[in-house]
Amino acid sequence: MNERELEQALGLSEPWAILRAETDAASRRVDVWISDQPPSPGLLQRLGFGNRRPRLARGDGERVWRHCNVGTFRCFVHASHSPSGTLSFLGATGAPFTNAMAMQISELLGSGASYRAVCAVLDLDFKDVWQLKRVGDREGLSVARQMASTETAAEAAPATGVPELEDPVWDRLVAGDLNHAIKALNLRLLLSRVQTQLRGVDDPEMREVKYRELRRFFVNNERGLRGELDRLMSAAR
Amino acid sequence: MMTGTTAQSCLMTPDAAAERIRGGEWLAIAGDRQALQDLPAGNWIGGSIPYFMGQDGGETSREKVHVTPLPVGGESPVLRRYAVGDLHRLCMDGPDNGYTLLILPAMSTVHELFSRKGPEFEDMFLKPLLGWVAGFHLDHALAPAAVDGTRAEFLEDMAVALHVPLPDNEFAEIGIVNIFEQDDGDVIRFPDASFEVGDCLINGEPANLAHYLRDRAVDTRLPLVADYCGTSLNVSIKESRPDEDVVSLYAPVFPDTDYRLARPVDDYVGAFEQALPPEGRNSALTFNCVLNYLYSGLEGRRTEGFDGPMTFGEVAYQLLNQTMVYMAVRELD
Repeated sequence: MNERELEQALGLSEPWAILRAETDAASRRVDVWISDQPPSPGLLQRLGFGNRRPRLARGDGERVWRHCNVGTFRCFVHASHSPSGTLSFLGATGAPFTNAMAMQISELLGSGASYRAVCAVLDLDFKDVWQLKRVGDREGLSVARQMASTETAAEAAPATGVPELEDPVWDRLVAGDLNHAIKALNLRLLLSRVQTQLRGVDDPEMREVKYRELRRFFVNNERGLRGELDRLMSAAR
Repeated sequence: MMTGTTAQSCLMTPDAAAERIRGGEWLAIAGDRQALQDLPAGNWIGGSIPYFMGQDGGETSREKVHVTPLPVGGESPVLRRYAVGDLHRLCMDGPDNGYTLLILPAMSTVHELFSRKGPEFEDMFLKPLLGWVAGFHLDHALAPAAVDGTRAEFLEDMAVALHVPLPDNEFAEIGIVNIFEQDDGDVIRFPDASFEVGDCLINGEPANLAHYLRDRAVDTRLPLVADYCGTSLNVSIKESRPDEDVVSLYAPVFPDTDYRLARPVDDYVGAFEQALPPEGRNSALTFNCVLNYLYSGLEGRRTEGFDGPMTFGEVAYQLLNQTMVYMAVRELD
């Protein structure tokens, strides 16, 4: 694929053009730097694929948006200055996704896919999808409603002795206060994932989604992990 | 109370294994691809590997197969094949009470997908999932294969999983024995989930892992270790190529995770036997890593309390390296 074909595949149109593209086959990632400024001849010579590994460091003022996947590769679009209105798919400053990607996510959620399924299929970070949901909340988009209803439906469970979501044990579990009391391997792995996802997140709604996930774990394993739960409840008091 | 079946789990000839298959019991069978080739169809799931911890100690054999009778007792087990397109359903297909035994062919697309995305699969961690990665003899490479024993078919780019329901009064528990733990050294972070890494952050500063390993003359038999709420999980180093700025791994590293190199272990057998908990000893189903077998010189030596295949990767919910995985079946009150 040459740069012109890649521009078409990404939805770029003049005056925007690709400055550089880097692929990393091992992590299935393509990074594309774009600009609406005329590129210098020197830059043109650097067009195209070939470098294996994307840079970790960003240039001054550079912003990155996750764009729609290119085949099985995740695609990240970099721009060094605020985009004008001429490129509809770039996201707002600070948004995790390009508008095209946000629309794709929204459509999937709107068709009934759970947010976890969307994250898994599109290889997305949970926090980024949640940020999109928050934007949707503010702007009255369907994403937020869909995600909330999906979560509520997933919570439906039979009568159980597992504490309700309001119980402080979930706060302490996620805070890592009870790590020493956990023996079950699957709980350690799940909790580690949840703690990573909630690191630095204060959004109560997002936390509630993850607490539901933990609670569902105990509901599903209540008979076998009764002792584990009792130990945690005891440690939480 | 624990129940197990290891007393009947052992290395045997393919003829003896065929006899067991004809007996109708559900079996897990590991062996070199040629040794598995002539086994009849029946109630079994298998994978290619010629390295074992057998009844006489560590053994490399292209002629024998390792047979483990599987704990069953509820409804009939269901064997399913998974391709890349439906692997994400793996955990959802598992029984409400029971376990899933998974075998992945090494270096296949399903292996790669499970390694990177498995932790995100729907219902992951909710139901017991264990398994191993099929491989080959390092001097006689045949394509790694998972085996659908119900049809005696070898699969090089599909996983096979046996979903085994257990009776209501039984509960499967999966554990690991990892003798490695994080050393006190530098904290390493990676930007992506990947089997091949280079750029990383070491103590927060941009660096290249291959250069770091070279500059410090690190023993690359030691894995990278991450801490998951008190459980150490390894990622083993396959090859470091500083001239290409790349380190290849046997399992992917993950972003937002702190890794450190492992603390060296002098005596693997001693450390292993000390680390093996009572519930892991002679448990129903066990596998260990071929790197432990090779690096620790286990051929001809015996690790008490464990026998089973030495594999190209272990699955205890997610892909592990240099780790023993076991499953115990507990009777509920």
